[in-house]
Amino acid sequence: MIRYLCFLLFSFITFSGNSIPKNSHKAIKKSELVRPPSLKKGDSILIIAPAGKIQNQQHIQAGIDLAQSWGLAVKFGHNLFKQYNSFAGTEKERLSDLQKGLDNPNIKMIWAARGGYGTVRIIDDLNFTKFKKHPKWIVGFSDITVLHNKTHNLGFQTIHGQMPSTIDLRDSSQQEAIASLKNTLFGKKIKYVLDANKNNKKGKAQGILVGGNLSILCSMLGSNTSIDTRNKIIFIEDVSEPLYNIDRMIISLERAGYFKNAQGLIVGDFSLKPNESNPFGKTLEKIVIEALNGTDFPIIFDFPAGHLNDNRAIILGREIKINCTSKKAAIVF
Amino acid sequence: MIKPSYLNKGDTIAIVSTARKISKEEITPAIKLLKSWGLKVVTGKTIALEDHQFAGTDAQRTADFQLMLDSKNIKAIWCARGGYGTVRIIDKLDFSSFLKNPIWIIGYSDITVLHSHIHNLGVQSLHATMPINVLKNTENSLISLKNVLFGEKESKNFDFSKHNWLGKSEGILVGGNLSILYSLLGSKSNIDIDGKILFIEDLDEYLYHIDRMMLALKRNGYFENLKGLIVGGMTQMHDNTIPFGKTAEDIILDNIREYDFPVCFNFPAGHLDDNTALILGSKVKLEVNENGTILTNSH
Repeated sequence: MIRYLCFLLFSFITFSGNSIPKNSHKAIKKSELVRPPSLKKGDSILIIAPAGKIQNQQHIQAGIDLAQSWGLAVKFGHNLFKQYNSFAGTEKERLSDLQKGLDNPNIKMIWAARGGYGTVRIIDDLNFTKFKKHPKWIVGFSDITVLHNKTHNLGFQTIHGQMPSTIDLRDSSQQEAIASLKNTLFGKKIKYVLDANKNNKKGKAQGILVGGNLSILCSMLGSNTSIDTRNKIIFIEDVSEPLYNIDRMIISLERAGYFKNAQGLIVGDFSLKPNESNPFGKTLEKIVIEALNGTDFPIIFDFPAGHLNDNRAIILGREIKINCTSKKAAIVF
Repeated sequence: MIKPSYLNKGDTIAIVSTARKISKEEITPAIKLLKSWGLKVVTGKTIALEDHQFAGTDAQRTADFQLMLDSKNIKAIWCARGGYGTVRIIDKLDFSSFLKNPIWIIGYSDITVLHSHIHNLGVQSLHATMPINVLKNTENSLISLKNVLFGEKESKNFDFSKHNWLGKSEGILVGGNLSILYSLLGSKSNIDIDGKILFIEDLDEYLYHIDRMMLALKRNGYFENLKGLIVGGMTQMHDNTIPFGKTAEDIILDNIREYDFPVCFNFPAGHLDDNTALILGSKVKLEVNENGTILTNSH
């Protein structure tokens, strides 16, 4: 396992307390996307399921308990526990829950209960008009990358982090991930410093963070929810994909121009399947380095985000700085 | 679209691998077959080469294919098998002498990378069985390959599927393996689909992933101005522990429900023993009626 330090610096004075200026996001650097207001005690959040079904409340209870322990009022989407084959309800039901969350100005955060498959089936039917007037945090990962990409293209920051279904409060290996989620949501400044993976490509970079699940990023290529990666730092993660398919997907991104004018790459967890029966003969690191041959930006491997217990929160759309040396890799939000 | 010259007895055809490794023994039946058709066979260096899963390194596979593309006496290149790997060499290939002297590129599955790329260069190519499959192929599928290569005009009739959408249309045939078409989205090898008839097939995929891929094609405008959809073998589809709740046919139809063009299912092409040869880039007439499907090559 990788060892690293994570520490919080200062809380963001602008966003703490009760007197949040209405258009506070306008004070942020021009290049950055709109930052939804940070959460504060007493805020309401909505748990919805845009993709795979939730078996029962027990399945997401840890997330509910956690949010309540932070002083948040947890509300459920009307259709949260609906089931339709593998989905958490029909498209209409899933769409309706998410739309209500986007439209209700009293909801300060929309938390996807889990991933699975299905967000892309409703993405084109969502209406972001009210969300744009009252931006709020959208939180999740994996299939929720569809929503991250869509929101990114609309110009808003989102949080890639743990979901109610992936939280286990008794699991000590989740402590840092849970703390990082709280810090990002409540407007604390975050910074991650990792021990360097020997395959890292050294360098410094600054840019807006984009990305998410590699399979989803690929599935968006050529569509209106594919992200413009120019001058940005790209984050990728995936789960249980065979190496040959990771190779194919990274090459797809490359051939679609993803890395051409990017500023950096952060490779998260890939939860590779052990003992592939037909060995690909290359490691994940080699696949990435080979496909990105010809780029000269820093590459950080082994960032703890994705389908692992220690899934640290990262803010997509935020201007970040990375510094990758032979010893450490620092990511400053 | 430019049509490469048909073959004549005595012409030479090359067998190479652009993707997965293959042994000499595995292509022996194909060599026998070609010789029985009166063709000469050249075997590329990638046959029996090995680099983990691949038939040699990227450089070796590129060099082998390039050599055959550039050789004046080679009239067709038959890709020995699919697997994964053609996309790793596609941008390294130089098609300039091929464009002056176009020849038939033959294969399916992973070879869809070549079909799509070549389609965008304006040259027809041949979606058909490959040497690795010859022993198991039906007589019909091998004859269909021979007929196309030697320029015999073909019209095919196929049985009716209850999922079909009836209608008649005409257009240029494009397509291949759905996973590969999907993986080329957003790249320069993504096929120009406007006004064409799309053929798709796939193997060994999860149903939810078929849905994701169909939706990705849709969100890329693939069906906006499509003239017809031909669905070949959707072979060895998998489901998750929690069933997806739809068949491959339902998934495909659900994703095109707002469009109006003829659709036929169970077309005998793809990962099937009965893998009928199709000329991608050629103009075809598609008629789907109550009795079945008729696909005619208008050449």
